[in-house]
Amino acid sequence: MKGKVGVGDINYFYVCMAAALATAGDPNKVEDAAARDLVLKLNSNGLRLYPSTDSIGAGVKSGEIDVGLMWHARVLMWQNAGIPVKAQFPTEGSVLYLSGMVVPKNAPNKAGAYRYLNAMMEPAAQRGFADRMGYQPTVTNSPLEGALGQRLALPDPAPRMMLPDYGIVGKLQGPTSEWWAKNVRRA
Amino acid sequence: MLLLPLLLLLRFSLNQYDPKELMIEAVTGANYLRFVSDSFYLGVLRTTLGVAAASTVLCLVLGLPVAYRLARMQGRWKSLCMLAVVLPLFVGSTVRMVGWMILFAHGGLVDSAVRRMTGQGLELMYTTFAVVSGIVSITLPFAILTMQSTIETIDPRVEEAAQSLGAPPGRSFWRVVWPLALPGTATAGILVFILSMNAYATPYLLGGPRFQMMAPLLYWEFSTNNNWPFASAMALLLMTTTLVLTACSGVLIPRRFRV
Repeated sequence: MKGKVGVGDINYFYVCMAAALATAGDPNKVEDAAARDLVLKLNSNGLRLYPSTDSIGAGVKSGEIDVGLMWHARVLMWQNAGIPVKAQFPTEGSVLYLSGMVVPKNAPNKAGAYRYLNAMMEPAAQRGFADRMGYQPTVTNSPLEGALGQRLALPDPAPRMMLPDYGIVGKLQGPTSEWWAKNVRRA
Repeated sequence: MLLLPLLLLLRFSLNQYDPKELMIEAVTGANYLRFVSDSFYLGVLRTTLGVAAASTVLCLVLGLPVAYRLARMQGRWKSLCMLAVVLPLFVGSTVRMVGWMILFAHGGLVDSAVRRMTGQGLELMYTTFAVVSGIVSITLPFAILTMQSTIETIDPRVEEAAQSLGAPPGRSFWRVVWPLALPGTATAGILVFILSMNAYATPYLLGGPRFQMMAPLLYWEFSTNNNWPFASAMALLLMTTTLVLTACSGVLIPRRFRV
């Protein structure tokens, strides 16, 4: 497996969270020595770092790497694009990615912004996101059926999903980024 | 238009960063101190300087013969050759980098060709060679055009006069044309050096994350870490380094050849 594992540089925090999950069972413990040691061990084993998410897909397609760490949704997008790749949920757990949208206090057209947010939550829009981008629905009134439902179905029994503590993530992002740049990128 | 953004950048660089508040108004030199006291950041600046210097030398060495030939050409061929030099500038640098990626990537044209010939692949992606090649491909047309316009102003009769006095073509070039073309060559060098120092797409796409140069690193600080004060300080330090070195480059040209 040496040199056949690749991750995205931009996903550095998630790589560290995965290491923390593996070593401490808690994705927030990215600064633990054991988690950092695991990242360094992975790096010294010929870890390939890619500059963008799509370049990882190209690495998988060309056979440069066999294994990586990626969003489930992105794996589905790659499958749509004909890249031969499958997703596997680690037994240690998977970190949930929560994407938020906000209306700024000084938004010039708040009514329009709310209409946009409401439109995003319509079942048709949710199915569109699921179909095109592989995102699981964020509302309860939009069950996925048929081939789309099968494509996005999570394994049974359901994988262990963990939501990071965003208060901790916010505090640790800067120091972890610097540690990553100095110890993983440079090595 | 030019000064105001720079002043804003200077003001930001004196602010403090906080993970929750992001940017707190202050007047501190901590961001500059962090950069100059950390061997990691100084190493990235050294890499940037090395790549910029190598790209500049390569552009001048490769560009000068082409510029000379173009300057001395006449008629239809000249227009066609000028078009060939200018044509790459019509394509965006990022698009050109994608072309280089197809060439250098694992399973790409170079890798496949070498693998067929030797049985072993050749990985050029994410190497210094890939980054310098990419930067030279972008900056070479600028160098050629700058030097060509200077050489064109040199009267061909001065070369003929040197040759009529017994100087072979090579000697007449070095003793007559080269000193007269030196100011234009220096301008081309400065232009290439500045463009190379600030290269973003090339080191990002062809160098990969492990090849760290200033522009991608400061963009990372700005966009991923949201640390605008430190990113601003890095931008000003990069700009200052480039300006100081550009100003100092004048001493490389003997006084009698300066314009």
